[in-house]
Amino acid sequence: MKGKIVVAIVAIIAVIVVASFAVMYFSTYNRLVALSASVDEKWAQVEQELQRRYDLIPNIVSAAKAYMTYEGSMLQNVTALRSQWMNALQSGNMDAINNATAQMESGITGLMVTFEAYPDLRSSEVIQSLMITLEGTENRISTERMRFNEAVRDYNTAIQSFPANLWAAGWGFTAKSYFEAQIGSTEVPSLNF
Amino acid sequence: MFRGSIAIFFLALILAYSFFVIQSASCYIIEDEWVEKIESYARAIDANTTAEIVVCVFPSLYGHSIKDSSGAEIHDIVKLGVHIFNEEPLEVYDGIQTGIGKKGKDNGVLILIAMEEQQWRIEVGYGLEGDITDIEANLIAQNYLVPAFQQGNYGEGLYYTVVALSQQIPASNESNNLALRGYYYYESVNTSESSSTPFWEWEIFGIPLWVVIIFILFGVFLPVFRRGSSRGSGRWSGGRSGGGGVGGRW
Repeated sequence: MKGKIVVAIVAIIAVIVVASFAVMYFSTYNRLVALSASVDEKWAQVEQELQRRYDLIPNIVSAAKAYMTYEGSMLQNVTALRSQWMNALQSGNMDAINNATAQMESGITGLMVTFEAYPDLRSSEVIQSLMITLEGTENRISTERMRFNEAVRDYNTAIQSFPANLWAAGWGFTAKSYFEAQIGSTEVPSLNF
Repeated sequence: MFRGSIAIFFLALILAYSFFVIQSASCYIIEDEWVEKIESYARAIDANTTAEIVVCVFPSLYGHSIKDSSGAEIHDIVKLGVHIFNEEPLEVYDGIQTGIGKKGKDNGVLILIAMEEQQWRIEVGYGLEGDITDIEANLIAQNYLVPAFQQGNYGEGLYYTVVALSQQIPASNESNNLALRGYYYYESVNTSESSSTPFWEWEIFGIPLWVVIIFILFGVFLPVFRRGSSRGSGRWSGGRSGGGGVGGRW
């Protein structure tokens, strides 16, 4: 009789252990899925804002063309960087995107600085509107970039934490790359109209 | 006799503290009259369109004790705007709401002013980015906010900016049974010394309780961006924004 009780208690404990292990196992998996999805969702937001900037560049270039007689190469350069950047974005390779974005941003910065030398251009209403839109786009990009990087940080922390680190690789969860802000690129040089 | 002198002692203390309060109240920037007009106009906008236009006035971008996720005080007006819009718990009539605008509609607008730096920023929620484009927001600010601020007519400038912004927001055809926010104007009670307690608490805990009681005796509510302490206990989530909008200097 006593033996039966002991067996029953051991069996109950074993069931509890196995059940709690299973719960932990599945909830860890579900948490990683949720975090990974959050990263993807935030990347979609970043891409949307990058697309906005991409669409804006031809407008700026064509509006500036009328005024910039001597700096045609500058405009061509930005246009070339734009297509290079789109290719990187489509490739989905984070290093390529980081690199192309940095070049793109320094190209835009260079263009803005050049604008300073053209008073007619700076006072053009079209250019002013485009500058405001560009500034808004840059703010949106940096906000969404920050949120994306926070999501990546949460995800990367989660897959490296115990017990997820035991299973993450087996489930196919690998560390994700950050979308880095280049120093000084987060702020568009402001034009003093 | 003894009782009488205690009463006189306390009366003197009360007078001393009310004097102190009036002195420190000189950092209040917008006149009550305009605050009331802004509040009632914004309440009407909320009732008609469900959109929430919130005004936040800071004496400075430094010393306000609003911190980002890494714990550093935010000194950039764009980042501060995004933070207040999305993450700062703001008092509403029945509790605390995080996120300006209605949840799911993201139809909030935040007007942020930093007096010392002479910077303004209009942060537009995701749901209104199509109705209030950056260019339109800039035009409104250039027409109403900047000229008035240059003259020192801060309340007037803010009021007409709120009015002009609201005209861009389409009326909601659905019946508005959503709760009104209750408050649309917040002013940071700023100090140059930084405080380690969160700003929405330091008026409550930073001041000795009996001073707060005196405040109440005088019918003055000052906590939370010079707001009354929250009456409800609910925690609500609201709309979101993503850096959309425009900013500048006056």
